[in-house]
Amino acid sequence: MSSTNTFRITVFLSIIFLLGSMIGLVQTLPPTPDTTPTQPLALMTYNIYQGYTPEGAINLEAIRDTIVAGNADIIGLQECDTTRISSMNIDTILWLANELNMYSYYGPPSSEQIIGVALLSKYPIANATYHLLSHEELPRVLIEATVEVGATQLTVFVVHLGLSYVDRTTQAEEVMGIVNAAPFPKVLMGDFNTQPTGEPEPGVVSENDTIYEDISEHLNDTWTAAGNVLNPPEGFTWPSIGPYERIDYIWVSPDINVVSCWVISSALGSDHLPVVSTVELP
Amino acid sequence: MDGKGASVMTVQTQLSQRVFGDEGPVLLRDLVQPMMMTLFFLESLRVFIGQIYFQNLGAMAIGISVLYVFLLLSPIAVFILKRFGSFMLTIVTGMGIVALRLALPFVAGYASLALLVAGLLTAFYGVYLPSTMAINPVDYPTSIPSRSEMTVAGFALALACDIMFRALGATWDFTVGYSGILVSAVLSAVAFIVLCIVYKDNKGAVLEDAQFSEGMGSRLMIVFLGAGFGGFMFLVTSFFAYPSSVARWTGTDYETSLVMILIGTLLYAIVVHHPSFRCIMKRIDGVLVANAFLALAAADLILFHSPLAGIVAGLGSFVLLMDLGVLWSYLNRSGGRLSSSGIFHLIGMTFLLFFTLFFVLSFVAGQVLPALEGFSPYIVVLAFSLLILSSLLASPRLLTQEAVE
Repeated sequence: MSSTNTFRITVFLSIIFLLGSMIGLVQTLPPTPDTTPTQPLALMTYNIYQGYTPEGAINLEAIRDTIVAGNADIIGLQECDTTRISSMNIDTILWLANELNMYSYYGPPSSEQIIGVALLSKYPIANATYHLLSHEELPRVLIEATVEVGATQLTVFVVHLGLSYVDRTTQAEEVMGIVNAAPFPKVLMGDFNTQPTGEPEPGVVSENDTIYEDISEHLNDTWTAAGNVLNPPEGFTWPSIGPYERIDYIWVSPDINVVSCWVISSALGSDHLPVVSTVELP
Repeated sequence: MDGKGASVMTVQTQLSQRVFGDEGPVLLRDLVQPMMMTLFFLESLRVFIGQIYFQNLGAMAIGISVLYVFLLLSPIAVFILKRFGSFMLTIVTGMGIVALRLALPFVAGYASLALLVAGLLTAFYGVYLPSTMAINPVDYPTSIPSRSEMTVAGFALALACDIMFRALGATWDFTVGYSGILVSAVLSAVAFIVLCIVYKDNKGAVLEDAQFSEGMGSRLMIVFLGAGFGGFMFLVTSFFAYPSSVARWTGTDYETSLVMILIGTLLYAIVVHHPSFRCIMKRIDGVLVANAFLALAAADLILFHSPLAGIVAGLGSFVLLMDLGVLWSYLNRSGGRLSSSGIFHLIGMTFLLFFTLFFVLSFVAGQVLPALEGFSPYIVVLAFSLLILSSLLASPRLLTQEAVE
């Protein structure tokens, strides 16, 4: 091997880059959070808008701060990008899990060419998988995971339904088929792109859907279960500035006791506002 | 070249020579400077494409800002600016890149400004790259890798440095945000000093286009190899510079991808200094075997998503850089003219633009262009195919030229 100065400098720089990367890698090694169960358990659902604020800045620090402010233990995230250069090649879920010292699951692999959904959890994620949903417009996914909260095996689902009437109603039906087959206790959260009244969002020509009613036959909407009225302005989650729609929900199985539910209206890291529910597991 | 070179050679002791010995000018001009410029390009390209995407599709509407994509086609400017000569263009665009890189973290919170600064930086690099590849120094040492090989080593080090920054930020390059202002200032200062030394040491010590006769390359060949370069750039900026992207794409772990891609990348920068490796690079059978492996790596990335995807990607990144070495060596031997280099890099950037747009849009095809749904594997196949074919096409011609010389 040549022992020229260019070679020596190349080797020197290589060692620097290797060591620097290893330091970075050590920081992202699997988390070791305190997994002692706390009651009540705080759940959050948050659509993070592919990593951007409504103004177009990268929003991850704001998302992290919002999750910390909500004191959330288990978080369902939608519109997560982990691969594309259009989100600056940032693996949003790896970054958030690292910053929050939480376990994570993201689905599906980006080779499915879907903007995925994710789960962050203070408690270990024992099993996790994803289900691709039928679609005419954008492909959509439901993730299913078992979270070990102490001795309790909590089944958690995270989803982002389609925008069109056909897509969201078909997908909601598929989602409930999977959710109903899962063991209790269970949580379903996400961006459902439907209002509790079933009306389409203002400006969209579409039939009213019955997604809210259909899901309510099997699961409890934590917003109303916590004593809030069905569709008040303080429950609106979209857009984050001047919201006028409630389309993000946390549903729980009837064996879970809902303590409280609120929308973090000060969160400006995304075009959605997050919903937080505190619950007591059976 | 030597006769003409002697007449323009400066006899004064060069600054970089006094610090780094005989190879000082080469070290700064052909390794450190391309490394810094390529690093800045990689960083700005992410911001640039990200902002175009956000301001159009992310906001669910196509706006005027989509026209910024044409800044990627900036190599076309070398045909207008070529009278300034490749060396001056390299220095001036290099200075522009440094200034814009310094500004980048300050505009991170302002989407429109970030788009403008990142777009201009990308455009400056589009002129810088063909210009620097057309520089022909008069006194290049024969004991070290050729200029084009050295520039690829600089490119590899830039990739490794970028991987390091992103690893330190858990895949977020903190140096382009507010928290990276200090690091950006240091990087920009280093790049500025390097450019100043390179300018001082090399003015009058490079051959310009007028002093060359046309080399072996045909324009058609240059166009085809430029397409291969576009394939290379797309594969690097969508996968091989991003271990997390490879891991998420294949459903494998990030740690293995990071370590293996880093090793594959750095290994190239190191072994290119070995004469035996440089011989392999010039042998058609060596290039053939390496690219046969790259085809397998492509199949794994596109179809199989094996548990070994991280390891395969690491070895693949080595071959990718080897192919870039073949393409740039061919370009260098085709006469080293600015116009050839301009065509090569213009075609390359055009392919990078289209590959990247189609790849990004294939994720949101249902909302934008349904025909693109499920399209991304085909884009990756096309990029791999163009790179492999162009490398195989260029390799035997390099050998022929070597024999003639």
